[in-house]
This record gives sequence, structure tokens and C-alpha cells, in this order.
Amino acid sequence: MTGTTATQNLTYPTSGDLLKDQGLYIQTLAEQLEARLNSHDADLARSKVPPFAVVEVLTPNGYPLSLPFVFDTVLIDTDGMVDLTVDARKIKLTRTGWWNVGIYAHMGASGCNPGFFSLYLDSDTNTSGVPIQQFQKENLVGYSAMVSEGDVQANVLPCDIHAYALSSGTSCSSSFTLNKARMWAYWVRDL
Amino acid sequence: MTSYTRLQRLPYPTPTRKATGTEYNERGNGALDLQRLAEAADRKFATLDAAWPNELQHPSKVIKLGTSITGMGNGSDHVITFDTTLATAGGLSGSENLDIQGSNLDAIGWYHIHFQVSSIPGGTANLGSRRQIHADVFHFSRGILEQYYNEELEPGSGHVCGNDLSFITYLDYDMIINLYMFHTNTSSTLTINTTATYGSMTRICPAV
Repeated sequence: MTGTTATQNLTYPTSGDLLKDQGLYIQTLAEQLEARLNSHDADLARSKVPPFAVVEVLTPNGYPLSLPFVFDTVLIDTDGMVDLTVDARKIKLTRTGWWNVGIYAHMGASGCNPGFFSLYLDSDTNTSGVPIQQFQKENLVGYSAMVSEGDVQANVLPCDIHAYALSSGTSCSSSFTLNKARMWAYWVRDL
Repeated sequence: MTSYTRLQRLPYPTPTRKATGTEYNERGNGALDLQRLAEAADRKFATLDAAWPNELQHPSKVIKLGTSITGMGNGSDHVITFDTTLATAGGLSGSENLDIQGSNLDAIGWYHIHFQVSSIPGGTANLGSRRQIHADVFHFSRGILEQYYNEELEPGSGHVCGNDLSFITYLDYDMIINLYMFHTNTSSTLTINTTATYGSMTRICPAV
């Protein structure tokens, strides 16, 4: 079989090929078309429902500062990115590419006066491509609840992400109450 | 006889063993076999062509505050009513809200929501006073389902302050996201600027 199409390399018989093999040519072409259609179907499916997970802390918990949040609920997981029974602190980014990762947290007061309360989103490896994200909130003296959130688009290698909080300032508490948190990650595109 | 590829079910002639060697069917059927394959491939590509626009171009909308909101006193929630739709796509309504209502059932799913609100005191500002926005995810039958907050401190007298809120939520039919502002500036009312007050919604994936 000597002929190939210009861009997709689909094969076809030419004058030197045998007529008796025409069925083979058709089978070969059918299998080549199937491979391309399979690839398109996979791309379409991943674009429609991308790798995407959201985890949440629904039950308020006390946390020492700097320790990763422990999530208690999976709201959605389209690609096996979360297993709370194995590690309830992480979302696994399952493929190389551009991802949107984010964290929303509603936290109790840090006690700092004055000071800052910071929310961090981090990966488990320094080489993954996810920069440490810090979403800082000035301490709101006299109020019981503080909120911080943010998200970032990053190009990453497969890795796990987690979130934690820190405070800095005068008379800061060593722990805080996490009233609600929601961490997410979704794939945006290949590199 | 006809065989088919495993997943896409594209037809090709079934190989048969004959005295002269392996042949696929009677000679002369080649054109018909090729026609069957071409028509099956045509149907597959037509299906793909129809699916791409709906499934790749995710529903999205951007709204904006076109007219300033002035005179907001302290201590109570003020509704931020957007009045301009900058762009809408993928089956979302043209309303100036982040919502799923009317006939846009196909738009149901998980959304990334973002709000940005720019505000400034009309006169003297109380340094350190709070400016808070909160978004209610509201269902017309079931009420408020979720709330998200962002608080900022008054940066200084007369300074513009930006509140920014980003979160992920599921939006079903008959749901809307309402945005409110609350502040504790006692010396002045607050104005919400039009220059940088936006809301946006982008679907990540449909209900799965």
C-alpha cells in the first residue's frame, strides 16, 4: 500500500497494489479512522468534563496553625483525584497541563493584634510547577470571623495540593477555628 | 460478510480463507465496501461536528455595574444590582444576573464564580472600618444554599477599596447568585464605582 494522505497519513492503494487485497486496504483505513475518532472522542470528553475536584470542610474544626486542612466532604471528583480515606488533606492533579487551583476559607479569629492571617495553597513538591500561593488578610480586631480566598492558574506536573493557614503579628493564637473551607482544582488545557 | 472496528463500529469486509489465499470477499464488492466505510465515517464526523460547539464552548457570562450605587449607609446589607451584560455565551440568559433561569436548562452544572467590587467613601472614612461583600447562592424554592464572604479593611481616608471573591459552586435550574455589600464606615456613605465592579460565571463541567 503506497499512498498516504497529506496530513493524516491515511493509506490507500495505488496502481502497483493488488486488487485481491482491496478488503485489507479497507480494513486498514477503517482502523486508521477509528484511531483518530477515538482520539477526538477522548479530547472531547476531557474538554466537556475535565479533571475536576472540589473538597470541603463542612464541620468546624480547630487547627494548629501551619497544619494542612483536613477535608470531610467530596463535592465532585471526575478523575479519581480525591480519596478521603487515604489522605483527606489533598487533591491530586492527575495530568500535566494548565490547572486552576483555589481555596476559600472562613476562619475564626487569629487573636493577633495587630497582625495578619494568611491562607496558603501549596503543592507537595517544589518541582510540580504550582507556586506557593499566599492569600493574606489583615487581622480584623474585634470580629470573630475572617475570610480569605483566592485562586491561581498554574502549569503543573502531576502533584498533590493542600491548604493551610498561618498568622503573624502580636499575641497571635497558635490555633484557629476553621468554620468552612472549600478547595478546588480543575484542568484547563494541556501545556 | 461485514466486520466492524471495536469502538467506532466502522465496517470493513470480513477476511475469509480461500484456496488462493486470504481474501476479504468476492471481487467486485470493493466499491460497495468502501462506500459503507465512507458513509459510516461521515456519520461519525457529523456527530463530532455537532458535539464540538456545545461541549467545548462552555457557558460563560460577564456582567458589570454600569451606573454607580451611591449613598450606602453603614451597618446593613446593600444589594449590588448589576445592570449591564457585557457578554454571554453557551446558552446562558442575557439577564444582568449570574443565574440559570428560563429555558437554559442545558447550562446547569459546576461554575467558577468571580466578583470584583470597587468602592470609595463619599467623604471622611473611618480607618480600619470593614468593607464586606457576600454572595448568596439562592434557589427560588429552597432559599439560600451557600454563602461566601470577603472582607477588607478601610485602607485610608478617601481611598478606593477593592473586594474580590472567587468560589466554585453548583448551579441548578432556578438559581441565582445575589451579591451584597456591608460596611462599618460611620463617617460617610459609600459609593460603588462602575470602573471596576464586575461579576462573571464560567461553567467548568455539566452535572455528572
